[in-house]
Amino acid sequence: MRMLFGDQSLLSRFISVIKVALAVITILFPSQAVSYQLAISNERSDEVLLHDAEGRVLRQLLSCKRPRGMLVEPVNQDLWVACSDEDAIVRIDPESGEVKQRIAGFSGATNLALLGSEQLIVSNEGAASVSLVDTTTNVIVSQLPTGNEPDGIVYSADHKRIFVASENAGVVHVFSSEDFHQEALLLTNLRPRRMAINKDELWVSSEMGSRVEIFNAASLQKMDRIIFSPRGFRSEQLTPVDLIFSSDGLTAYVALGAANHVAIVDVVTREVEKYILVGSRAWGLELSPDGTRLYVLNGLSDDMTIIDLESRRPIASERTGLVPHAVEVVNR
Amino acid sequence: MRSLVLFALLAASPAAQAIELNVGTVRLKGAVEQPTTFAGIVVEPDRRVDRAVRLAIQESTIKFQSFGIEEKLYDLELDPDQPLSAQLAQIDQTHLLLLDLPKTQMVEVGRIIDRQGAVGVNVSLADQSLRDELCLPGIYHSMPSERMYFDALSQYLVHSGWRKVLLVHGSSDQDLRRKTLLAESIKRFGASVSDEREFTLSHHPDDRDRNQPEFLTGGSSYDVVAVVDSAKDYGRRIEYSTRRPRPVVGDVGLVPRAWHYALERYGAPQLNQRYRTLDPANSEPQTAMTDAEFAAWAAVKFVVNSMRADFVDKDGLKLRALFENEDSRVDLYKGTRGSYRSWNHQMRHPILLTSADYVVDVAPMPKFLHPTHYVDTLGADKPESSCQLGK
Amino acid sequence: MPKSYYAFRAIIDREFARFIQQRTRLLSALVRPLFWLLVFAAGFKSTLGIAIQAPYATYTPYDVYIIPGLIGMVCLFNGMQSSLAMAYDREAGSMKVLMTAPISRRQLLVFKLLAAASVSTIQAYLMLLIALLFGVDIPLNGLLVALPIIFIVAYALALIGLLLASTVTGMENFSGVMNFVIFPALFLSSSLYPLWQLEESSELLYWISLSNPFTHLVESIRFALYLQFQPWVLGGILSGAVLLSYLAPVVYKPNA
Repeated sequence: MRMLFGDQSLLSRFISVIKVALAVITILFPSQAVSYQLAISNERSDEVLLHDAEGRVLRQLLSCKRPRGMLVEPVNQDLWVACSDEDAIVRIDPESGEVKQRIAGFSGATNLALLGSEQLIVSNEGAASVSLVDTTTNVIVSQLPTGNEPDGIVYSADHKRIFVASENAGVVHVFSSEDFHQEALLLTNLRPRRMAINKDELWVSSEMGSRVEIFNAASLQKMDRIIFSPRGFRSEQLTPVDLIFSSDGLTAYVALGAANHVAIVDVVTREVEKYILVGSRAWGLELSPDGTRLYVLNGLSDDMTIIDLESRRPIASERTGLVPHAVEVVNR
Repeated sequence: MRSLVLFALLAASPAAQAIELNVGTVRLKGAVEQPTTFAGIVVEPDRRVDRAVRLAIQESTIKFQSFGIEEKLYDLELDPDQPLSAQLAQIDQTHLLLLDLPKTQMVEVGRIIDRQGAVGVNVSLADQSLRDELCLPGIYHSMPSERMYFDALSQYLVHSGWRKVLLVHGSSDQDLRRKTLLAESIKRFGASVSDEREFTLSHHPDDRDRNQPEFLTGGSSYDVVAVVDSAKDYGRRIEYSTRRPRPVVGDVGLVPRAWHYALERYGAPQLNQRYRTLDPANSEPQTAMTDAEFAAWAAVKFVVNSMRADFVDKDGLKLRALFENEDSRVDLYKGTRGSYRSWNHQMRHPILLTSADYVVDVAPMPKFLHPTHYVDTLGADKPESSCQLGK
Repeated sequence: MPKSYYAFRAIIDREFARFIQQRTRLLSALVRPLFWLLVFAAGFKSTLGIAIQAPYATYTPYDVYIIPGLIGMVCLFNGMQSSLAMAYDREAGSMKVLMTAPISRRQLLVFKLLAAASVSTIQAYLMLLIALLFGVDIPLNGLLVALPIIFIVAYALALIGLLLASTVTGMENFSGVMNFVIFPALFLSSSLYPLWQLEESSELLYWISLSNPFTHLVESIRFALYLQFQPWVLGGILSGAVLLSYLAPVVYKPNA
C-alpha cells in the first residue's frame, strides 16, 4: 500500500519538475529575438488594436468607424488606416496611436497602396473608383473609374503599372502609374479580391470562383490557375481572399475564407503542399519580418491563428476585436 | 498592348458591328402593380423588376464593353386577349426575356420563345409545377422554387430542434397546394406535423375554432407554428397570439427569402447600397430588392458573369450555349455561386431565413450534406425531380 | 519488502504472459480505436475543425481531438477485460492460489490492478504509435508528460471494473459490460465529441456526460498531452483511486 502513496508523491514531484523545466526553458530561450508588433483593424468593433508577436492584445491604437485596409509607410514606419464608414484615411503613430494626419473625401475607403513617397492610392468601395491622394497637401489629385467594389491594389515589380481588382465587375484594371490611363482590363473569374506580385507574375484570388488566377504582369496574358480542392470540401466552400508570397518568392500562402484553411502553394510547381486548419472565414494574412510565422485573421471567429512556418503547424489562436480585417507588422 | 488584351478575345475588330443583347422585361398589360390586403395596406412590397434589371446592366458595362456587346433594355407588355405568338414575333436568339407573368402566360410564352431560340427566365413565380410537371425546356428559373423555400425552412427547424410543427393554413387552392408541399418538406427532413389547422377570415362565432388564433393553435402539442398564408393577410394575426408560447415561421414570423436588406455578409451591403442609390427618390435604408427583383438581377448577372469568348462569334451572342454550359455561374452575394440545375433549369440559391430586420441564418444549414452541391439539399434534387431536361 | 516484490513480479509476469500470448486480444485492443480513428474520423470529421477550447491553443482537426478519447477507450476496454479475468480467476479458483501468497489481500489486488494498468498503458502507446504513423498530429513532448496520467487513468478504470465485477451480478459476460458500462461511458463523455456539441442537442445529455467520471479521466489525459494540468481533477482522480483501492478488498471476496 505504501507503494501507492509513493506513486502519488512521485507523480506530483514529476509534474512540478516538468513545470519548472518548462518555465526555465521559456525564460532561457525566448522564441528568438522578436521585436515587432502587429496592428489589426477590426471592422465590427471600430478599432485598430496593437498586439504583440504572440498575438496578445497590448492596447487600442485607434478608434474609427469600420477600419479595413492598412499599410506601413516604409520611411517613417507610420501606419495608414482606411476608415471605411468615415470615408477617410488616417495616419497614426503605431506606438502611441497618435493621429498625425487625416484625409477625408473617399467613399467607403477599402484598401490602400503607396505610390512613390508622397502619393497614396485608395480604393473606394462605395464609388467604383480609386483615388490618388497627395499626402503632402491632403488633396485628392484624381479619381480613376473602376468597376463596382474595387478592393485589392498592387503594383508591378517595376512600379510601372497599378492593378486594381473590381469584385463586382469581375475584372482587374491595369493603369499606367505614369499618366494613370487604363492600359488594359484583365477578365477574371467570379469576384476578384486580392492580388500579389511575384517578379513578373500577378496572382489574383477569385473568391467566388474558388481559385487563384495567374497572369503575366508584363504581357498580361493569363498563364495559369490554381484550383483548391482539399479533401472533404465542396468547391463552393473555398473562397480565397488574401494571398502573400514568402520573401524568396518560392512559396505562396492563400487564405481560403469559408473553408477555414490556409493553403501553402509551391510557386514553381503550382502544387498545394499543405492545407492548415485555422479559424472561421480566414481572410487577412501577414508574415513576420523573419518569415517564420504567418498570421491569419479569422473574420467570423474574431481571432488570429499564428502558424509556425518551419513546422507548418498552427501554434495558437488569439482573440482579436470583432471581425478582424487586416494585419500589419509594425514597430519592428 | 491595349488591343492585345481587350480585344484579342474577339474575332471581330473593335470597329466591327457591335454584338446585340436585348434584355426584355415581359409582363401583362394592366397587371396590378402592388397588391394590398385591405384598404390599401401593403404588407409585402411587390414592384416591377425594372430597377433591379437596370442595376444589373449598370454593373455589367465594363464586361459588356470588353466583349463589344451592346445591350438594349426594353419592356414588353403582353395583351392576354390577343394571340401571344404574334406579340412575340420579333423575339430571336439575341433576346433574354425576363418573364414577370402569371403561370398560364409563362408556360405559353416559354413554348413560343423556345421555338424562336430565345431564352426566357422566370423571375416571378416560385410555383413548383413549373419546375417539375410542366418541365419547360425554353425557360430557366432564377426565382427560387416553393420547395427551395420550404426545404430551407424545414432544415432550419430540424437544425433548431423544433421537430413538432403545427401547420396552420388558409383555404385557397394555392394555400392548400403550398401546405402540402410544406408538410412533405417537413417530413423529408425528419420533423413531424403534429396537426394541420385551417383558418378562416370570418369573425362569425360559429367559426371560433378557426378564426381565433388562440383556439386555432390550442389542443395540440408543438414546438413551432408554421403558417401558410399566400395572401399574407390572416397569417399576421397568429404571431404573439398562439395558445402556447411558440415561435411562428413560414409566410409570417421567420420567413425564408431569396434576398433581404439586412444581410451583412458576402458583399450584400454594397449591392443593397447600389440598389438604393440607383433610384435616390426611393432610397430608404430598409429598401431592398424583392425576391422577384433579386431573381431578375440574378438572371442578367448570370449572363454577364458567365460571358466568355466562346459564346461570342461573328453571328452574335450564343445565349443558349451560355445557359447550357456547365461552367456558367453567377455571384449571388450570398456566399455561394449560383448556377442552373441541368435537370429542371432551376437556379441554385442559398435561402435566407429572415425576421423583419435580421437574417437569422442562411440555408443550406450545416450538416445537411450533399455529395456534389450542398445547395442541392434545397429543392428537387436530380433523382427526385420529374423533370429531366439535361442530357 | 522482498516478499511483496516477488508477489508483484509474479502477478506482473502472469499479466504480461497473458498479454503476449493472447494476440487476438492485443489485436482487437488496437483495431477498435484505430477503426474509430481511421474510418469513423475520416467519414464524420468536420472538415472545418473543432473550435478552440482548453487545452488546445488553436482549432483542432477531429482526428487530433479524439486521440485522448481513444487512449481512454483502450484503457477502458483493457481495464474491463482484466477485471472480468479476475472474476474468472475467482471462479476458477486461481485467485485462491494467489491468496495463499504471504501478502495482504489489499496488496494483492493493488498489484493486480497495477499489472492491468501497465498492460493498458502499453496498449495505449502502441495505438498512439500507429496513429503517429498515419500522420495524426500528436505532440511528442505531450506523449512523455502524459505517461503517468495515462497510467493513473488506466489504473482507475481497472479499479472501477474490479468494483463493478465484484458487486454487480450479471457482469461476468463481456456483452453485459459492453452494453451497461463501456458504451455509456464512451458515448456519454467528451471522448468522441466536445461536450458543447452535445449541449447543443440536449442539455440533459450534457449534464449526464459532465458527471461521467470517464469524461474527467479523458480530459485529464487531454490536458496532459498539451502540458497542462487541472490540479483539482487530478487530485480527485488520485484520491478516488486511493480510497477505492482501500475499499476493493472489502467487496472483493474470492470465496464468494
